[in-house]
Amino acid sequence: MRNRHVWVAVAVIASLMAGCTTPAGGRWPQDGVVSPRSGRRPAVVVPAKQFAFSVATERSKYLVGEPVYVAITLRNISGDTQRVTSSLRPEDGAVHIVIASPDGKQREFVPLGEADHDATVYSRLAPGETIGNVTPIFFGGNGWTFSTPGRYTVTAYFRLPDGKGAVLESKSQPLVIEIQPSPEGSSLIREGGPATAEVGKFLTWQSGDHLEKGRARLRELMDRSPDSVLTSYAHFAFARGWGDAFMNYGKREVRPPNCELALQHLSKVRDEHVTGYVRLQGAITAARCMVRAKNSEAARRYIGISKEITRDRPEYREIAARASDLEQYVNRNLKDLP
Amino acid sequence: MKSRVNFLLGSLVLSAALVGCTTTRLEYDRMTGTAFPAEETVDGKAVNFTTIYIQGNILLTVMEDTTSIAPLTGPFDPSDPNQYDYINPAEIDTLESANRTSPVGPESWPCEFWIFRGTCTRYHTYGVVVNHYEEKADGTRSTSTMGWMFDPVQRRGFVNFYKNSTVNTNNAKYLRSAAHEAGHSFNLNHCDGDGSTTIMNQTGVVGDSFTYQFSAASLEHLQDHPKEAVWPGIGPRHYSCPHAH
Repeated sequence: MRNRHVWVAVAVIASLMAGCTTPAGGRWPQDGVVSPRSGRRPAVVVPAKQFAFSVATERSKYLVGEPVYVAITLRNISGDTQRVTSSLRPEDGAVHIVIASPDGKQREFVPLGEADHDATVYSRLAPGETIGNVTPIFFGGNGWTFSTPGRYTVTAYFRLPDGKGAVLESKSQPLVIEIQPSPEGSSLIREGGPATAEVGKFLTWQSGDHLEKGRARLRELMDRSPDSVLTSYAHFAFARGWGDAFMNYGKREVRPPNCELALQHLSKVRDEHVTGYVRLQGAITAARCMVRAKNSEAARRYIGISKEITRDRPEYREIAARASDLEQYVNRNLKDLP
Repeated sequence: MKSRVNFLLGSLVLSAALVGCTTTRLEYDRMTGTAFPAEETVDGKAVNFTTIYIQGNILLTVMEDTTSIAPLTGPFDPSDPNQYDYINPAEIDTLESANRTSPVGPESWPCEFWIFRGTCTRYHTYGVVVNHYEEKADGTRSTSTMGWMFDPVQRRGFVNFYKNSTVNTNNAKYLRSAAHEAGHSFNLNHCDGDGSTTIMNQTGVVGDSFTYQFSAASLEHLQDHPKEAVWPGIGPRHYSCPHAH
């Protein structure tokens, strides 16, 4: 009799367990579960000798809290045309960035998103041709990358699956970045709940009307330290934000561009504080505003600045293409003022 | 013998009480003019999110929720006539906060069956199908992007870009892409993939020779790695391969 109770109890427990799944760490037999031993093995990584892959920054020294962008480039050094992914942003999956911090710990940079692309992301890279992208690495899934002063080493990997079970890999030379102390920067990125993350997101995206806590903290910085390097980056982020319409699904409305505010903020960005990426995006924002004001002469002047910055810089090719589209619009549709 | 049986029974009851049931629910929203990925049939068997994730011993259920989010449009800009066809990361951020009804992280409740009392836990992830293409933070635009996992701090969810021509014409690839993006919420990586057919390879990599199977590395992660590193909504993305938690 007792045995019967035991078996009934065991049967009930088994049925309870069969109705759901385990937390990671356990494995209960269930229809459809596949043993890892039956799964396909990871792709084999092989060195890609057909590419020269590099990571670079415009400067070797930055401040704590300062937005750091790296230029990532891939050059076909073989004699044959190569099929490659056309984006070298980490979020698009082909580029991985490993950063060693001053304490010697290595961490993979985690971008603020991860994309899945169809096959149209691939393009053909002719012998000698170079593609590239500029990408932020100062803030990501692990928070602020350069949160303490010291020497950081950045190494990038380009990984290109061949679709047949192998991954071609190129590794960049290590890049050393020195991060210098900054009271404003430390204050800006200090741990403090959502505001810290929102500052990082707003500086990364240069967009986000809803990131109110982060924007408030950046406004405090602009008021407190109007001449600081970081303040120039804050003005830039606000300028780009105001310079474009924002689809705010939280408010179910589109906030139209506000060129008056965008240009005010841009006027406070000091060129000596910021890098080429910021000057380029600032010039395009100003050009767009001039187009909206139907001021073709000023629009052409800003487009000219953007062309100067992007000349012979493959890492700016996609942004340069956007500026080129704008130039064509100006040439077709705006008459020069008398 | 009797004491051994009692010990076994006691252990089982204690385990059930401590562990309970753990599941994940995908809250799925979409904009008007879009569709959710539909179930596929492969070798006579239904393939959907649940059958894909059960391979990894994860019970993932889908709650199709809002289907009437209207894509926003604003003032027309002749110099950028298609601007509202594209959505940027910050705008996606507002979309989630406006429409997500499920919590981020786990919810637990007592669950009873007969004399057994335990705790059931449900984790949540979120997906939304947008009637847009992707716009990058640098202002450039991508028509090749099928999906995008957002918020690597907590691994909260993903979007599908319905204007992408593969998404809106090839349901089989759309389903794999959506399952792939959900995989990032479970901390699965591209480098888990076998480089040719499995889910965590990017869709552009697999071409037409894809399967709805996870690779050995993905299965091992889903089944055996610490729960903090697996369940969505509770921790950051880990990017390295092999997985190191």
